[in-house]
Amino acid sequence: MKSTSKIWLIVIFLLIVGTRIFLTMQIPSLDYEAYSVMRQVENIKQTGLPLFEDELSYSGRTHIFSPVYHYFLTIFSFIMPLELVAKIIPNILAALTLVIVFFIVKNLTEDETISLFTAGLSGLIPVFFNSTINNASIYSAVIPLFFLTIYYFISTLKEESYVTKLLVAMILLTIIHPSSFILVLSLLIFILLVKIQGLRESRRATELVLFFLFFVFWVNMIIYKKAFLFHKESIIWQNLPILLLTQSFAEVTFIETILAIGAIPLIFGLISIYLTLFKTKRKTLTLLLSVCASIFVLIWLQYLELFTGLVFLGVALCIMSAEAFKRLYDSSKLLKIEYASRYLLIITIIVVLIAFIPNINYFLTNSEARPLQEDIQAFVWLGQNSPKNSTVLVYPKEGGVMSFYSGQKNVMDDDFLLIPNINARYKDITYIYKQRFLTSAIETLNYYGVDYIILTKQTQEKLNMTDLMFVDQTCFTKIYPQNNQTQVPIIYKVNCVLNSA
Amino acid sequence: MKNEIQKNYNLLLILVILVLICVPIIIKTTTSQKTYLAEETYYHERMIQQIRADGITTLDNIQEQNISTNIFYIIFAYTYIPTNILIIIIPIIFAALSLLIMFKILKMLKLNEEVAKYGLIVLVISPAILYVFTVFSPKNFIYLMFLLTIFLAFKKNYWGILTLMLLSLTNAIIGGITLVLLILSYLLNYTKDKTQIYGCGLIYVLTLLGLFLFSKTNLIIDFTPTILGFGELFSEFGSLQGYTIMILGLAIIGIASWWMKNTERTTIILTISALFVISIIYPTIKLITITVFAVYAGFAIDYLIKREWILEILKNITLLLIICSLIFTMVVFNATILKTVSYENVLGASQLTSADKGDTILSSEKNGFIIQNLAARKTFLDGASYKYPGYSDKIIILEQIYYSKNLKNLEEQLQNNSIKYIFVDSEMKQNLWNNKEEGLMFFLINAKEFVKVYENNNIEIYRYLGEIKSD
Repeated sequence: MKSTSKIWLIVIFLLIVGTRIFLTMQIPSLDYEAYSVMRQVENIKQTGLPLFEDELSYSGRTHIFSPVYHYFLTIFSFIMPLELVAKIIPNILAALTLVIVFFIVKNLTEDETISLFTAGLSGLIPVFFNSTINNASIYSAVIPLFFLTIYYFISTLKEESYVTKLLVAMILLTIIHPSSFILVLSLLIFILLVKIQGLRESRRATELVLFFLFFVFWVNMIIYKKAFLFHKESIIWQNLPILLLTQSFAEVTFIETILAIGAIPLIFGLISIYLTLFKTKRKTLTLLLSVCASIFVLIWLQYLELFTGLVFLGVALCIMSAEAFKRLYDSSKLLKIEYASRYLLIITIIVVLIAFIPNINYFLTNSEARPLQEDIQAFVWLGQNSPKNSTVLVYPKEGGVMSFYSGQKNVMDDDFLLIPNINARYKDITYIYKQRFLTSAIETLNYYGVDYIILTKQTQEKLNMTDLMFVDQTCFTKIYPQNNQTQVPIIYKVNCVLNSA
Repeated sequence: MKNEIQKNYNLLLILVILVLICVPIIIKTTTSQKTYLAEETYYHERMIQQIRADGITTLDNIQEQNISTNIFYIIFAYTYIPTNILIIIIPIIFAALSLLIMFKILKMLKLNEEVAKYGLIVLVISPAILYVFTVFSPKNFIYLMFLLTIFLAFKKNYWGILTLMLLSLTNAIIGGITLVLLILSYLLNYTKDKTQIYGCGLIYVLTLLGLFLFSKTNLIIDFTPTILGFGELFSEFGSLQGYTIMILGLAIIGIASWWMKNTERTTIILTISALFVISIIYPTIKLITITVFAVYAGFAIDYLIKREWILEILKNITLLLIICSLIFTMVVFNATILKTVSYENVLGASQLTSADKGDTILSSEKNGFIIQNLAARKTFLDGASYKYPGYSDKIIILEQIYYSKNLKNLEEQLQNNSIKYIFVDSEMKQNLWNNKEEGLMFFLINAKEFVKVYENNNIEIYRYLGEIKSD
């Protein structure tokens, strides 16, 4: 590796990390998903153990997950405030992906300029950027680790000395997150494609795949055994409520999907897929094609949440796009225009940067992804002005943040594993906000033992309403805001119990 | 001399396997709180007792529905050996015989000795087979008859026709599949006796005709497909009689690694795939499919051991992982089956004898057979309900009862279905209500329409005080 490339790589890395941290600091709160991670990190910091038995989530439930990532974040929580840890560390981890992309592309094209360009491009994939910038997402660690494993796999095919590194990466990925199943599927498709394409079979690859297959299966069976037994086959969808599952696919248009990955990685990636299938027969490209194919199949069958799948697909396509871009770059060198290839590179970089600007704007203005300050104030107020262990009803995605700030029990949040009858619960909670009849509403509130109900400003905007329609003065007492303001979060105390008992 | 040592070694292997199989039976019979190993045992015991008391019948006296006249019950009803002894010894005897015949079949197929041994070990570790070898049920008989029919066919022995008849009488679908396998083995030149195949075909048709004339219920129950979902297909999802993903994976590696002629390979792959798909709707077929998978898993283990690995370190780790997974599967099975019937559930069920004859008892499907046997009372659902029409309607009603928000609606459902008693165990509390006072549980505890009539560590029984509608 040339020293100039090294410097450029460091510069690109710092620029991407800097941009990410700068942007996330512009937002006072974290995204909704981050708060459940924060609660885990906080608990580890205080007790040394993760919160497997959670009294607040769903008014008491068992969490099932691998706490490796949370322990990693906890280390940093001793040297900086928790909110800063959630804003800085995941961004550094996510940005490391571009370093790995650089090495994979270098391995693929043996061209450091193209590698640097692709590395930069991978740092600006919109869906990856948005999914990992402000939510302390575990994918900030999973994505770089996933592609690091692929990098070591490619290297091991060429040289045996990488085996130990590959094994370490494989083991880490497996114990951190079940995404290792995606890699297993990719590797199986790779073995199949190698056979179909008539490439020379690598015994080493077969052995690694065999090992990884059994290892991933064994580890995940141990970690998630309880969830496997509880949810049976629906574990594949992580017990996601059907309404939410269908919404997540139905609400996204084709154009939005293209924009999520980015036009340049998508176009050049697709050209590379064509080249891999019909023109060039190279194992590295076949492996990357297998990753794309496995993710595509998983998204198509709705086994993988759309945006999570697009993150993996975006990075894989970005790496693949290097092959097509290199061909264009090399061809441009043959043109009679002086520095044509450089111009091409500069123009493409400018196009990528211009295309990325709306994404920054989207991130800064997308208030739906995170709680509003007024809502947070209401949660804090409730925590200080209500008896301990009260049950509070908020919209499902707000459950985690409400419990984090108020320390009160929620009826539902966004971790659905091991929760019985999840579809009915989700339907009940989302429908109650639109409920007109007092008796039906009280019935549902009694069923879940609700003491307080919050209508956040976020929910008011989402459902286009200013107050709950079923409330009356006998059964509900408006306790927040106290000065009868409208258009702010509203908290009601539930006073009534239906006369059934 | 070498042959003698080998023979002794094989015998020792079968003995060790038998001891392993006996572990759950030994644990259950030596503890002071005696219960049977699986809830279905209570059903089979009741059937045998019913035949002993009333003679051969096609009506279930408790559930008041048609049942098949199973030859397995008839044989053991007229042995007059106490059922609690039958329940312990029959699975062991049938397991020993099945293993011996299986070993003989593998030898007759001229498989490598190592492959046969690995195959046999994997077979015994497979939860579905382990279940057959430990739990008293007609499947003991079905599996033995299936293996015996194949063995006798390979031996060109005409007693095989009789065993096929017995098999078809017990389960017409398995009989049919066995016949198809015999025809395939003839086409692939594993067996060469045409007359025997014709004989088997003829006897199968005659058996079906006999069943059609004398016991249509048998045919209806055997041929009615049941879709239980993938959860019931794989042991990893909690099914005690399901496939194991690890063994399935090994079988695929085994098929890929075993050299054979193209036609043979295609036929075998197509047959196995077809059997796998059919087993989704006819679960008993899993016994045949798993047997085949176990043999191919034996090939895979042999291949992985003998293969020259470039990365030697991976060989040892991979084999260690496979061994650990197989042991893990067996341990999980034993732990699960030992927990299926708790002593508290049995004690609780026996309290319901005082319930009125016409009352229906509501509990989980798992508890159905236990209540029917010990309290001699009808239950809303049991482990065999899925075979009968109206099952999906009952499930909908059950959901409405369990997650009821309205006492009036709840009472209406209880009255319409003559439910007077509700039997709740800790597993139901955890799985249905996450240990919270929600839905039915809320009303049981708080509503004056319900009164708790029994409670122990694990069980709560509630009586509904309202009037129920009589049929």
